[in-house]
Amino acid sequence: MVSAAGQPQPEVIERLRLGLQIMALRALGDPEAAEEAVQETLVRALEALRDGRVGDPEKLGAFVRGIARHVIADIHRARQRAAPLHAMPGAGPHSTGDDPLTALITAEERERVRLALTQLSARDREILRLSFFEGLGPVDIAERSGEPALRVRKRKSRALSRLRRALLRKEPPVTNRGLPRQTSE
Amino acid sequence: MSDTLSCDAIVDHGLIERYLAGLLSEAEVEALESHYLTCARCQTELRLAAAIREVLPAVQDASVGTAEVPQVVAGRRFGRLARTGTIAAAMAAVLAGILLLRPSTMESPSHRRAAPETEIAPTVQVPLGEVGVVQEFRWTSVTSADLYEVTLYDATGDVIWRVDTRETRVPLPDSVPLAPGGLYLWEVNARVGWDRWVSSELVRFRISEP
Repeated sequence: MVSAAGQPQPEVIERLRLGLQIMALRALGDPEAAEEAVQETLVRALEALRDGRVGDPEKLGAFVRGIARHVIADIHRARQRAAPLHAMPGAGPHSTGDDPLTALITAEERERVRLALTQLSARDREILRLSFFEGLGPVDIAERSGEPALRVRKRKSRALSRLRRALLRKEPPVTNRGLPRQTSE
Repeated sequence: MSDTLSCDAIVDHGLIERYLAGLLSEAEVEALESHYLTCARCQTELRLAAAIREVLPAVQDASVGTAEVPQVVAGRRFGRLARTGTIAAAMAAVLAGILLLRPSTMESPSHRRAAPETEIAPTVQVPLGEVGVVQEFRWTSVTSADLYEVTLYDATGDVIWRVDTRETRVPLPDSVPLAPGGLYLWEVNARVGWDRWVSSELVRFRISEP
């Protein structure tokens, strides 16, 4: 993960960048402010790595998160000084109507996921709604629906697997719901 | 600082879903964020979750309208009805059938929302056991059910067809070939209230060899 010279591999930096984007977008809401936080955090993290201030490379995530928290807090404070709270868009992770993480989804990815969602059963979609909007686990969903938790878990896993393939474009979307996956000839 | 989470533990505990819903404790947030900063798999899961949260509400809203008549049914075996009578007429016929069969539902339509905890599950009728040809799937009606979901599996458990309908039968479309000698399983789930379903037995049938 980290070279002998204390520098992370390029792919590790890219992974950190995406992780920081997720974290900063969720915390700040605003893509521009989030990008500022990502850049500042990466600069500080790379300096720390170069100076040998990261003891355990396996703790790199926790170390970088600590830096990011400080950077995000600084940006929050700067925004509060610049504008009254009520005038700030995205003052917190849940202060806006739109999920800021959607900035990380391309229009094409969004459409592929939408198509894949239309191909799921209403029941599977309901399991996803309960999971992703109400934060319910399979056991909670099973209690509501009256079916075994194992079956809920399998349904959710299968549905997510389809959506994941659509997001990553590992298989072409099928547009006719109800038709078997393998009969596209 | 804790960075001891595994991807499997994150999935098993639904941490990403609860993270985005703002339901994690501070300690859980710290552990999750420390993990996903260097984890490509969990970053993909987070992006997928974000996409689902953005798109799912619209898809669910749209599906309420399209679930009135199953797509396969409207386009194939029941095409004549769809062409000549319109969806409204089809729904009226279905509704009339339901009312004739179950007068109790006419007295109190709101019972659908207050489904009893011990709702009787649908019973599959056709096909079962050894069959020559499968033209349709049929099951018993469930009081207060407003939607049925039929799922057909192959012998390995893979889903090969799934459809929603408001009726208690649905034709098998020509595009779903069932092989002679092949073993299949199917089940039907009935929606008896908001996010409440009851399931039939998972039954098997085999297509006879010619």
